[in-house]
Amino acid sequence: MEFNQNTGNIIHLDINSCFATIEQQANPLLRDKPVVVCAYTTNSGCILAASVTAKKLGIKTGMKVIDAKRIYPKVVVLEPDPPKYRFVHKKIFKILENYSLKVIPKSIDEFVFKILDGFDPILVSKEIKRRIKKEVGEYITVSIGISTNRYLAKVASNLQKPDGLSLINKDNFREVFSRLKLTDLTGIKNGNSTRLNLVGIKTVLDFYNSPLNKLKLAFGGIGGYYWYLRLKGYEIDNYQSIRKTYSNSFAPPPNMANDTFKILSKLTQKTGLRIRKAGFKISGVHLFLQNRDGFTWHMGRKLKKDIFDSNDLFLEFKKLVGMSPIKNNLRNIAISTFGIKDKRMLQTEIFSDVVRKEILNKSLDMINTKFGEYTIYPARMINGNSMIKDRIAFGQ
Amino acid sequence: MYSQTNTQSINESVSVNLLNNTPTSFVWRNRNYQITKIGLHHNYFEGKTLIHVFSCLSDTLFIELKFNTKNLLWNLTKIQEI
Repeated sequence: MEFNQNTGNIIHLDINSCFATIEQQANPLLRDKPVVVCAYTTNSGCILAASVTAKKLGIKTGMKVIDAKRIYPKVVVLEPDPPKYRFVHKKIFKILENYSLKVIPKSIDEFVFKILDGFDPILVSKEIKRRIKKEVGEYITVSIGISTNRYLAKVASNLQKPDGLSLINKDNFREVFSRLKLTDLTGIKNGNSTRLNLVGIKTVLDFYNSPLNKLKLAFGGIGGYYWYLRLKGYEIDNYQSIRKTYSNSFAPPPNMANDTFKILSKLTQKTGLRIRKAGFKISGVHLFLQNRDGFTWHMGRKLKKDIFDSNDLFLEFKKLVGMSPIKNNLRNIAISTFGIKDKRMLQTEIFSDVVRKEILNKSLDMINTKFGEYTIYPARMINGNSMIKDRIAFGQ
Repeated sequence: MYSQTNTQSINESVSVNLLNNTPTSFVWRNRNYQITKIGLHHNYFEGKTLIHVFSCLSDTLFIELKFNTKNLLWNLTKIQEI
């Protein structure tokens, strides 16, 4: 099969060093300085974004603050400010909507879209870059990748950072692939690279030239077929995923490691509100706990009845904590709910008034929506209300 | 919000002068500060109240001003000196 002969019209846009760049846009005193945005500003805090200057010094996303300070002791460490990032995300989204019928945000800092027919993708990309600088902020730069499918557009967006504009199409794909290592490809890291090496694929060009049966051997049936099409520029990643779970997690700092039930209460409040806002009820819960010695425990259970009330959620998770050998000294706590069902079909019960509970929840949610999150909250959350901060989730 | 920089949280009410809906100067503790650059103007909702946030410079001072559209009050929330 030949490389896709269409001219590339899929654009992948990535905001460079998103959180750090937005902070530098807001505060000009921080520009051209090594800045990192971290989950927590303590030494063990994880770096969520490093500015372009910090990256040049070798500071990377995922490092601990202490490691960044070892590289550059005067590095500026900031906590995230999610409303700022959401605002910039929405503003860029609005600009992109002028060039496509459907813009898909892949995460807070990534968008993918197909430009309208008849437009030159390079000219459109240059105009988008110009408009972002003019309408959002002059310090914000984006890397744009253009290709015939989403995957190669993403690969193209990674070719030049910051402020890049790259194209992969039938005319230059061999030249681009020859410059890349296997692990430069999105989705190919050590594990997949080893799989490919085992069948004799050492380079990206080998990967591209491999027959379908070889890739099926490396990745298994359908996985190999998808990789075969992806590298040849055909679209196979345009599916719409369906939400099957609602989850929230928290990594408590050491001084909160023993506040298990306060944390659980806040997490269930958050998850419960999201479930109800989406008009669902759930029929299963799953709890993951990890302590500071590295031990993990998790358990899921299907419930006897469907629930939507945050307090009911809390009680179910409390039962799971009771079964766990890990109750304190927590490093990570994650709750998930599954078995999502439409809440409009409520099952009435003999011993509790479900309709009354629903009306109560509706009223509480309305108050919290009008006056701000956690205006009304359970007494067990007293003194713990501000401990779980607003965060930007990874992914779509 | 800003830690390990010389940023201070203030949270005091200030009087702000505007031109075309953009702050140009403000009075804080009886002293007038000219705004020389606006880095970012963003907004968010606290419940149903829209809050405008202006991150700006006054010469060598970084300041953050918040405008509450419900009570129409301006607040100086942060300052940072070079």
